[in-house]
Amino acid sequence: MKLDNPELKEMLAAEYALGTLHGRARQRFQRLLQTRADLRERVAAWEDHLNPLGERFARVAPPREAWTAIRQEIGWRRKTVEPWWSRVAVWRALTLASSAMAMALFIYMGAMRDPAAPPDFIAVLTDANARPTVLVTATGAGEVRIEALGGTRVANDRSLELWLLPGGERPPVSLGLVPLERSLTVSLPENLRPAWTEGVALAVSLEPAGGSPTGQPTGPVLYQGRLLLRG
Amino acid sequence: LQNYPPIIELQHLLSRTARQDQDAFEKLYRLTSHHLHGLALHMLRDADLARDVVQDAYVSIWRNAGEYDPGKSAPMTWMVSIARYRALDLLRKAQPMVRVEDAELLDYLDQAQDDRPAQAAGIDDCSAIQTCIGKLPSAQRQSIMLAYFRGLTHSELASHLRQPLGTVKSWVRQGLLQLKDCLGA
Repeated sequence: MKLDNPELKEMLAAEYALGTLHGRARQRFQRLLQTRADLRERVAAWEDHLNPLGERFARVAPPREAWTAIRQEIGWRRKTVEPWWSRVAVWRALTLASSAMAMALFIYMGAMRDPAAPPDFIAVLTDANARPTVLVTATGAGEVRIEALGGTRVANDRSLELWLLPGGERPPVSLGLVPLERSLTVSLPENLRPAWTEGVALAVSLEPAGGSPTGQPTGPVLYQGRLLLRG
Repeated sequence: LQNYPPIIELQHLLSRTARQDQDAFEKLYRLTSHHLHGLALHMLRDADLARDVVQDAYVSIWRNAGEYDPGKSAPMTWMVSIARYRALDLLRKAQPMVRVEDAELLDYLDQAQDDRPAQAAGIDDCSAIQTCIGKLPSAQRQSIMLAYFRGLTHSELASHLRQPLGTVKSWVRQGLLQLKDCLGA
């Protein structure tokens, strides 16, 4: 390109801003713009001249997804409320009540337990009134038994789901649905064994029938408690 | 006429956006995105591509707001440039043969947008470019309007206007030269 010719230079800048410069000529011109301040200045002048015409385009609101996509692309953190499982204060308030309850039950169960298979851990989950609702016992081998205590009921189109809350930033891990009849024994996944320690929090949330569709708690937390070491 | 939001407000929002102020950017988007989206729809005639233009344009505005110089151009001129170049990129990439045109959308846009010069359309607008475009001979005016509003290339203009390529190239150039004189650029 003979870009010493001021008229040619002017015309290229004008046609670039107008949009009629296209194909390889446009690509080459774009490359030149990166190094030539004189060209950039002429292009900017033409943008200034022509783009007030843009005011005559019809106004049409973009679809909602556009804004969501923009936010994602520029890496904004979603303005979300703090997830319930990270609110430690809730747990502190309940720990005393549920620990006392667990201890009482522990002693009671101690009297009737099968000496051949003693559970190594026990947790009694309680409702907002500190009433025991779900009993969780576990052997050292990682067999976890979940049992609803008398009177724990839920609507037909709902299920109760038990969660292990590993703490910190880590999200809850589902341990399964709370059976309303009899008890359910599940095997603790290998990767959860390190988190399965004394004091770890358990919670039961109200979910659609069959459990959370997302793999994370979606409904309100009804019961909570902590795992206690037995013996 | 679709008036832009006040320059002073947009300048303020852009300078806050340059400091990564999310609230300012969100407000800027609310005030201006329907303008840029309308532009993209009109040029591309495709809802998905137009949405892409809006997304790319605002990501670019967020990242480059610090480069906006209020002393050099009006905020909307700067933002329209970003969106128009992006629309032109996508327009050139899209295969015109397979581009599906939304007839309803086209009708809407054609009603909403008027290619006649401001005076002829009875629009009270005295921006320099409107006045100068009004003074162009009709063939030059039509070529430049089609290139600006529809993003047509020289060869697309030639087939649209049923004229030899050389003729429309010359109309565009003569028109631009005359605009330059008129605008005192």
